[in-house]
Amino acid sequence: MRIIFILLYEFKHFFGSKSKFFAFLFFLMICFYSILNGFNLYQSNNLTISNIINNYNDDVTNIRSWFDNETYSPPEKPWINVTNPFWAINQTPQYVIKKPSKLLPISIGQSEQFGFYKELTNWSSTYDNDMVEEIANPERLINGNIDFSYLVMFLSPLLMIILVYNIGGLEKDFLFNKLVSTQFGSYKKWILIRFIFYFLLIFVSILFFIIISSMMTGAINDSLNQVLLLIFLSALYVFLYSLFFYLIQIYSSSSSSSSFKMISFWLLFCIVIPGSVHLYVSIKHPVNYMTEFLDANRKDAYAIFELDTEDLYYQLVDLYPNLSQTIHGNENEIDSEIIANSVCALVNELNKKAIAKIDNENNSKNKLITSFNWFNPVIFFQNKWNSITSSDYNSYYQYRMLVQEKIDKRLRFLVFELWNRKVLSKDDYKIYLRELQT
Amino acid sequence: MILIWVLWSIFLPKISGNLVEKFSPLPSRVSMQKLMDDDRSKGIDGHNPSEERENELLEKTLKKYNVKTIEDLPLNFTGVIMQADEEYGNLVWDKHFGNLYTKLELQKFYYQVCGLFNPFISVQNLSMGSTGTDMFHHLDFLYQAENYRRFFIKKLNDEYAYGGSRTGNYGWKANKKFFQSIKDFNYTFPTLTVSLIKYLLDLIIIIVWSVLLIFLIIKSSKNTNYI
Repeated sequence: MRIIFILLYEFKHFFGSKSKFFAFLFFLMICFYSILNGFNLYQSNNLTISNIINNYNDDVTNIRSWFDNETYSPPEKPWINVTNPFWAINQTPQYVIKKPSKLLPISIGQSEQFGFYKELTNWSSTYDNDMVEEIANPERLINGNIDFSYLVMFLSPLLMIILVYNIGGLEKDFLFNKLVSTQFGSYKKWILIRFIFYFLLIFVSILFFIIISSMMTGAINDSLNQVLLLIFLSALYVFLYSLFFYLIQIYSSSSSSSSFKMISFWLLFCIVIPGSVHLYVSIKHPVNYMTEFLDANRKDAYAIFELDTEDLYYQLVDLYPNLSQTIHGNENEIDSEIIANSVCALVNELNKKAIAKIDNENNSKNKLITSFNWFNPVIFFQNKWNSITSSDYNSYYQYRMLVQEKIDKRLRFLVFELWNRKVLSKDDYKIYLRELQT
Repeated sequence: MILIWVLWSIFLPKISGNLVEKFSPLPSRVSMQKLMDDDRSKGIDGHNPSEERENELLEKTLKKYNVKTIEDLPLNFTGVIMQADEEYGNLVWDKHFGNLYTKLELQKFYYQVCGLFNPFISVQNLSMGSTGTDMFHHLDFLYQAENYRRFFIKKLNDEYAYGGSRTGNYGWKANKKFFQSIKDFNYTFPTLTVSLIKYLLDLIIIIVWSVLLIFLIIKSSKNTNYI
């Protein structure tokens, strides 16, 4: 009963203290705003994806009509012939899309830094211009978005400080602490119960926003495990800093001393350490200006274009040994048009080698960041949170790998179809659509 | 005090950034690309497809040189077409990227106005502006780079068209002297005065805030009873 009374007393104290109440209200409002922001981004991503699908359907319907009308080309480009595999694949749009996670409203993460759709061509790579962020105001990107996960990680500890700064400290300031011990028995337990009230207040608020937004996007049905993980993660995070603040509070001599220590604790773990780690990592692994990739794209690719048709022929056979079993592979004469249309596969291999270096560099950068996790817990929790909501670097890395897989598949398909001298009918084109989509 | 600091330095800049994007939204890459593709193929007015434009140009050129066939032209018509297409592409680019840059500049203006409620925004703007890391410098660089690209492409196309080749000479190559005559791209930083003019509003806001705060400090110190 005494515990309930203390909790009720704390509830009254909380409502009676204007600064605490308005700080909490401000936190709720800003959380609501962040969720709204997340929803806007989620909806705009979905809208863009549905526009892409509509554009795709329009383009495919157009190409099908060329087969129906037996024109095999658009009226303004009569040189195109979609019965040729090169033109059929060239004219068919192919998109690789990263659907936004249903948990995106509660964690924007790095969604604004990376592209979520990619139109493939025969010359595509995973570091093309359209793989970077959507058209955005660069200055707004510097400031970042109000992200719910950011609020949980950085603002909720600050709210906790505002809510508990005078708990225990006030009693020590006025030397009431001994009176509390006399009346309640254990001073530390009394403080603990009051802390539990604020722990619950913050945790339940976070829980409320997680559950409401998960219900609105349907994540609670489709990704229940992830939702539960997020709830566990937020509970653990709020518990950990509440525990530290509790220890600071009971071992401090006054409210000003505990406030100073708690603010220093927040500054250290939320600003100084993450900032220092970021700075150190930037010095160790400076920004990649992609010079190697650009060289591969220009210099090395041009070197390939300079090669003789025969050299290109053998390089292609080296790349795809089974080409020797195709129709063109068994012919005596080399068809320069087939080779010219297959060269993109060789350039893709060059791009992949250059990309592997960039990815290795990025991976070692991430490993370095991870190695600091043991004393950089806030960033650890934030990265974990983003990872659960598929908005972290790794999710976009996986997406890039998928794009590369599709490019490889597209080019392999193109080269084999060209070398088999395929002439497409409308039914063949349906098979092409399936091949390009899967 | 903590609340004010958190509000002004962390949250208001983010919220202001989001709000200005709501007032002046930017297009998505897909929709912008589609509009540009449409304008390029159908013509900016929607009634002037590329094929018609090409035929019109051919007739005009034949008339200008008073010849009947493309082979009789004393130039490489492919180069003429490429430059005409480039200039048409530039019009399309100017229309769409011009709109985009106008929107970005409008967003910047709205963001500057937010300094009225949060002087840290004005300080941030002035800091970025004076060090050349702001959006105005970024846009200025893009403009200069685009102008250089246009100059460079025009040089190449004109050389291909009028440098001695004839229509159909696809393997024709310009000489080393021509390539050496093309000047390199050099980015010229805008002068400090030009940059500061763009940040006049931020300067005024900081001055107003400073005067207001000094006035409030003096007023509150006068009202304080020390004993």
